[in-house]
Amino acid sequence: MRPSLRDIQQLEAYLSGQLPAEEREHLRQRLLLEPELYAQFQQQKQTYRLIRRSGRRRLKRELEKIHCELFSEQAPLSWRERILSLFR
Amino acid sequence: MNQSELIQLFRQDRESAFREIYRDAFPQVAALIARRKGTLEEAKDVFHEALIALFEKCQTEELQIRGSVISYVVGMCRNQWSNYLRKKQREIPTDDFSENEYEAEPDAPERSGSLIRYLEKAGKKCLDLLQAVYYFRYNMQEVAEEFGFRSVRSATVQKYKCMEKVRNEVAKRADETVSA
Repeated sequence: MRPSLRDIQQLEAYLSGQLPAEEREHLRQRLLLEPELYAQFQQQKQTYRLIRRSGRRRLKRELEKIHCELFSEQAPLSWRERILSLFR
Repeated sequence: MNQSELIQLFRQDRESAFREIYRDAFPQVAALIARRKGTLEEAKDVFHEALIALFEKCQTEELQIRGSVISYVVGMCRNQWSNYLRKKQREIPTDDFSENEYEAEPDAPERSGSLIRYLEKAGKKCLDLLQAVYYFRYNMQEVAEEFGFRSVRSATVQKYKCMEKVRNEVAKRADETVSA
């Protein structure tokens, strides 16, 4: 793996607390001395949050779809009718 | 449905799990919200947030449901709704997060929203892979199979490449915000 990807790997291990003590110390030193790496570290954290947000968006879409499907079921006393009667 | 059945079903087929819970729990949640003067739209929002929180708790193994999953979900919605009403009526900060409270998101949603929409179009493949790893918590073996990599190693390298790509996009947007 090229060095930039190895850094990402290291930062990830650091964030999840899986870096051995010695490497952790070394990375901390680098974060202090290398502003660029520090910026990337912050951006990487943002990226994890972004991924979580996008995962939630995906789930929301799936749930909307299920909602629509259940609402469009045609039974005598349908799921839809049961729900709508509550809000009348 | 109990907790272990839920976890099993979420792993096998997420959509079926959601559908089953939806069918059984939503009528109860809707009844609850209707009694407390909420609208159908609000009932749906609260319910969706609860299901997402439930899913995330399953992923991180924080879940401790003793009885039925349906009652648990209804309870989550009841708490959510009470908190929501309290905030709406008095606009006071509520710090008494109950156990069931859906965890609030710390960063600005609008800005990251546009980036997510961009990535959903321009970087779909990477976004899907990163979601699979970090949100849906596939192990790298599963990722390799799902995304057609020959080995766990090449899937892992791709994961870091994707991380770099999205991270650079995050950096670019941050620069634009500063210079704007």
